[in-house]
Parts: sequence; C-alpha cells; structure tokens
Amino acid sequence: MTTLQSYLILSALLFSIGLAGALTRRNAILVLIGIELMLNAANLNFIAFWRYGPHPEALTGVMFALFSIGVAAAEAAVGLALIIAIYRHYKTANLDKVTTLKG
Amino acid sequence: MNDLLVMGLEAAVLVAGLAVLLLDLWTPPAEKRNLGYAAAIAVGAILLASFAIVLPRPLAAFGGMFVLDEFALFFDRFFLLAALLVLVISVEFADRFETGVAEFYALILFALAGMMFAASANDFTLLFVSLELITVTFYVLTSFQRRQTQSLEAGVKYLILGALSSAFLVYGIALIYGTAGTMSFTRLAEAAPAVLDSRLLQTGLLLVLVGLGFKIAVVPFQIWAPDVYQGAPTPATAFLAVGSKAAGFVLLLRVLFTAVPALGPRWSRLLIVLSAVTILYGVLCAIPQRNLKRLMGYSSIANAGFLLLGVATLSRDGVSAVLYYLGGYLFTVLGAFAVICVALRHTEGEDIPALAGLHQRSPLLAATLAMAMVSLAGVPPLAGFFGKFLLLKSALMVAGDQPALYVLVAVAVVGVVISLYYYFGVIRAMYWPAEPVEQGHLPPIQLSRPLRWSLLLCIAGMLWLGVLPGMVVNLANLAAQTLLP
Amino acid sequence: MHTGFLLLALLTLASAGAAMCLRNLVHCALCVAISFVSLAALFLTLDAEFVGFAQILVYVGAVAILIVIAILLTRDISGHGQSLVFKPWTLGVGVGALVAGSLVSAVTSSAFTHRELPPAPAATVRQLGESLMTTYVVPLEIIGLLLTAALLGAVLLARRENEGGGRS
Repeated sequence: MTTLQSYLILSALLFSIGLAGALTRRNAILVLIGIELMLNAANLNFIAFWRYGPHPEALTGVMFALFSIGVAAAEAAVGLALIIAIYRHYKTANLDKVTTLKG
Repeated sequence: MNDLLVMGLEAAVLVAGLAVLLLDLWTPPAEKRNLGYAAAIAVGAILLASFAIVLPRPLAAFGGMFVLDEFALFFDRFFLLAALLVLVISVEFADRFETGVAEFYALILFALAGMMFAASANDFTLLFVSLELITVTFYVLTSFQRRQTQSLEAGVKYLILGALSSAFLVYGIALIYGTAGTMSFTRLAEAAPAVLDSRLLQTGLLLVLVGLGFKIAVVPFQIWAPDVYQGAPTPATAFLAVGSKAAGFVLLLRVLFTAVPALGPRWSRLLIVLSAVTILYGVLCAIPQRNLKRLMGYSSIANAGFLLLGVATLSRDGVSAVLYYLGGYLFTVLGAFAVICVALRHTEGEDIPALAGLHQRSPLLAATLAMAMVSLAGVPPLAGFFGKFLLLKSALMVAGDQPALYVLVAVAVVGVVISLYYYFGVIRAMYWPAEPVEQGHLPPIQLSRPLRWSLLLCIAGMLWLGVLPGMVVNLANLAAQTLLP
Repeated sequence: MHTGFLLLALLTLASAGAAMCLRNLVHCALCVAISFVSLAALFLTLDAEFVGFAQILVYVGAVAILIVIAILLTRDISGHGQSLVFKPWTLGVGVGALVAGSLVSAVTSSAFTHRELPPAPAATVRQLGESLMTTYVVPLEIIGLLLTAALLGAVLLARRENEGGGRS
C-alpha cells in the first residue's frame, strides 16, 4: 500500500520543480505556470494529510484545498490579464525587458 | 444570527463596497469622482460605529474561526481610519484614471474588508483567504494606471513575487495542518508543544513566515517594495504602505502569540537578526534615492525592521509598542503620501529636488510633509519619536534575558541617526533648495476642502500621539493584553 | 494500487518538469495541463472525488485555457532567456534543489508519515456543502469577494485602450 510519505515526497518534488521554474524562466506566463504547480503541490499535501489524518470527518484539508483552488484561479485571471496589458506596451511577455523602475 | 452580528463591521464594509459598484451605474461620468467621498463617509460612519462596540469578553464566531477581541477591534479601527484617508487621497488622484474610478474605490473597500477579516482571523483558513483578498486586490490597484508602463511594471512585479510568496504560505499551512492536525489557532496552541520538535512543523512555520514576511517587506523578501512603491498609483502605494503592512503584522502577531506561543523563544534569535538586517538595509539603501516615492519604499522597509524589533521582544510591552508605532505610522505616512499625491502633479518628475519652493506654493502641504519627515526620523515631539522610544524601551526591559537585544537596540539607534540624513534632505529640498526658485515663478497649489481637513487630521494625529500618548497607549495595552494575558 | 500511484507520480513529475523546461510555450501549456489531470487522478486515489473534479474543472478547464489564450494573445512562443529573480539560471535550479532536499529530509525524518492508509472516510458532497455553509461560510464569502475583485481587475486591465473613454 502507498504510505503518506510517498505522497509527501511527490508533493515536495513538484513544489521544487515549480519553484525552480518560477525562479529561472523569463517569460511571465511560464513563471505563473511554475507558481500554479507549487500551489498544486500544496493541495496534494492537504488532501494526503486529510486522508491519512486522524480526523478525516472534519473535512479541514478538503476545504482548504477547495479555497486554494479558488484563489489560484483568481490569481491566474488577474495575472494573465496583466501580462496581456504588459504585452500591449512592451510587445513582449519577457520579464527582463520590463525594467524601467530602478534606483 | 449572532455569528453574523459579530462580524458586523466587516459586513458593513462589504455592503459599502458593493454599493459603490452599484451606484456607479447611475452616476453621470462627471460625478463619478465624488463616489470616493461617499465611500469615505461610509467608512467614517463605520469607524464611529466601531467605538460603540463594548467587549466585556472576546467574542468568537463560526466555530472559533473568527474572533472579535480588543486586539481585532484596535486593528479594525486602524484599517478603517487608514482607508478613510486613502479614499480622500484617491479622489485627488481620480482624474488620472481614464476609466474605472468607481472600481478603484470599490477595490479599496474590498481590500479594507480583507484587512479587517485578517484582524479577526483565528484559523489558518481565514488567515489565508483574507490575506489573498488583500493581495489580489492590490495586484489590481497597483497596476491600475494601465497606460503607464511604470504602473504595469509595478503590478507585474508585485504579482509574481506575491504569488510566489502565497505558494510558500499555502505549502507551509499544509505542513502545519499535517503535523498538528488542526488549523485553528486555539487548538494549535494546545497541540503544538507536543509536536514542536517535528522538523515538518518547523518547516511549515518557516514557510508561513516567508509568506507574511513578504507582506511586511522584511529582508530578504523586500525586493518588490521600492519598485512597487514607485510605480503604483500614489493612493495604492499609500494603502500598501499602511494597510497591507499592518495586516501582515496582525497575522504575524496572532500566529506567534496565539497559535504557537511555544515557538517564540526558539525564534527570538531569528527575529532579532531579521529586524537588524531589515533596519540596516532600509536606511542604507534609502540614502542615494532621488525619487520621493522610492525613498518612501525604502523607508517602509526600515520601519518594518523597527516594528519587527517590538515583535522580537516577545513581551506584552513590545506588542503594545508595535501597535502604538503603527498608529503613529498611519498618520505620518498617509500625510506624506497625501502631499506626494497633490504636490507631485504640479512639479516636473517625482524627484526630491522638484519639491523646491513648495512652502511658497502651499504652506500646508510643505508643513505636512516636513512634519511627516520629522516624525519618520524619530525626532521629538512627534508620533514617530514616542513610538521608537516605546519600542526601544520594551526591548531594553527584556534584554537581560536575551543579550542579543542590546545589539539590536544599538543597530536601531544607528539606523535612526543615518535616517536623519535623508529625511532632512527632503525638508531641505522644500525650504532651502540648492538652486533657489524665483518668487512668483510657481503658481500656488489649490487644495480641496476634504484634502485640507485630511492633512490637518494627519498633523493633529502626529502631534497627538507624540505629545499626549496616554489614550492610544491605553488602547494598545488593552489590545496587547488580549494577545499576551 | 502502488504501481498506479507510481505511474501517476511519474507522469505528474515528468509533465511538470517538461512544462518548466521546454522552449515552446504551447508545449509547456499542454504539459502543465497533463500535470493538472494526473494530480486530479491522484486526488481520486485519495478518495477526494469532489476536489478531483474541482481540480479538473478549474485548473484544466479554466486556468490551462487561460494560459493558452494568454500565449495566443501575446504571440510570444519562445520562452528562454533570463529571469526576473535570478539572472543565472543555475542559481534558481540550486534554490529549487535546496528546497527539495530540505523538504524531503523533513518528510522522511517525521515518523508519522509512515502511516498506512486508514479506511476510506465517508465524505459526501452533502457533508462538504453543509460545512461550506456553516463553519466555512466566512472563507467562502471572502473567496466570492476575491473572485469579484479579480474579475473586475481582469476586465479593467485587459480591456483594449481605445475603448477607454466610454463604457460599453
């Protein structure tokens, strides 16, 4: 049978892949994809902890995962709208070109 | 039904926000700006109503997820007052948005609701959703001037770093939930001591600290602050500097003292180091700045360090000093941003030398900005001085148990001395510019009546908290007592 | 059961890794959608059917589609080069590896994570709905408000500029 540990390790690896992607990719859309992967990894943790936990009837983990999915959708909507607005100005979605603020 | 009454203030703010959106439909375009005054009046009425609330004991609702205690009430009032002033500043700024003026006001009210929910959060679920409500609204507020590349750039930077920090926060909450089996702060306080040695729990708490550290702009999660402060529309910057930062501190204090009180002693070193590094980074990077809003960004980082000093004392006096300092910070920073908002549209560029001769064009603006700088610098007799005094005093009182606090106090004093240089640079630029401006060359600046009253309120607040601190100290003590009985 | 988990885990990680490494943005979007679907399947193996379907609806149905639309609108298919946070990419990968290492070691050091699967809890949609409307009604309302704010913001930000003056 699969143990809780396998799920947690999978989630830790997924989180790190997302983080590495978000930190290294230049395109804003890819950075957002990386962050979505990190949020997904956290959701997997919630569900796994809930399922293996002592009080699954409390539904806490499931609830949090649902809220987190909702928040991620909102973040993605605002983020992609912003990227489209940026593209209109800079004709690029690459973050290293978006640098007028310095000091 | 009773549960709903407990969150009456938040509900009222929500209704006001939705009402602004609805009223927008029937308001002729020329009048849309004035919806901001309507929103400000509504917020003012809710603020007055909040003083009618008497709490013989803390109230809890929704299975203990939402609490209304003196601590929450203190911050509810704080956020309401901040939003009131920000709304008045927004009206001054409104003609620079081509569209969506009413939406801007409504989003400010939504963010305000998020902050008030955060003040009452007693559960990681509520902490997360209220923090996200604040953050997502600020993504929009920051990039609201979508024709200005600066505003868009500030928005995308805030969004990417903000979303990254939310991901850390969510993952941290997951680990805490997994090890302790609960998300309620009250139950966590019972469960945590048994599992505090678990590395999984400590990692989780550390990740939550990352998420909150981003809101507060603590080094090393401060990189967004200067860019976002500079690029965002001034009212959004003002609300970010006061409201969003205070919301981060509310949640940090609740997590540290209500959810995992056993954690404090283990983290005191970490908090002291973070505080010292943040103060030094803020003051040192502020020195070469020429852009006024960017300077305020670095100043807000340094102030986050000072506030963290109070948290690091882990004492009731320290928490009380943090609350008092935030109160003074509200009047000081909002006064400064009100001036920046009005004065910078009449000058060329946002650089500090452009302020030359401001006292001839509008004595009130110049006086407010000068007093704000004096208060930020921590010079008596204004609010900033007494706040810093209380913070350092609280640190010295417990420094016997934690000698590292002596070092931190020394760092803070050095920080204050360095900061005198650039704060007085702003005052010098206004009153004694390097290149004197010719008399009559600069037209006087007209101020609207609500703005004039707001500026006077900020001045009065700075003086009041500096000269007659008694009442606010009592309120802060009362609030700190509910957290650390 | 175990092979099923292994296959799904490998699929999730491989598609997530591909989404973060590939050059062509459309391929990245496709890979991330696969990753979302296999995560939904993992939720099903954990008896969280409702979350699994919500995952498919929201992540695959909305977020992935949004990403594809954004890619089409920005017409910026190539996604290589420097990043906002770290200039050399090795540093970003290093931070990722460090976080992975510390998380995995924290997980393996905790004894309770060896727990076996307890019998399936009876979490019906009815129970979920009831607690959403009682204990969790405040977060639910806040999420509603958050989505309203996000919707407002997205419309305001992405609207074409020449429509700026009037309200359609």
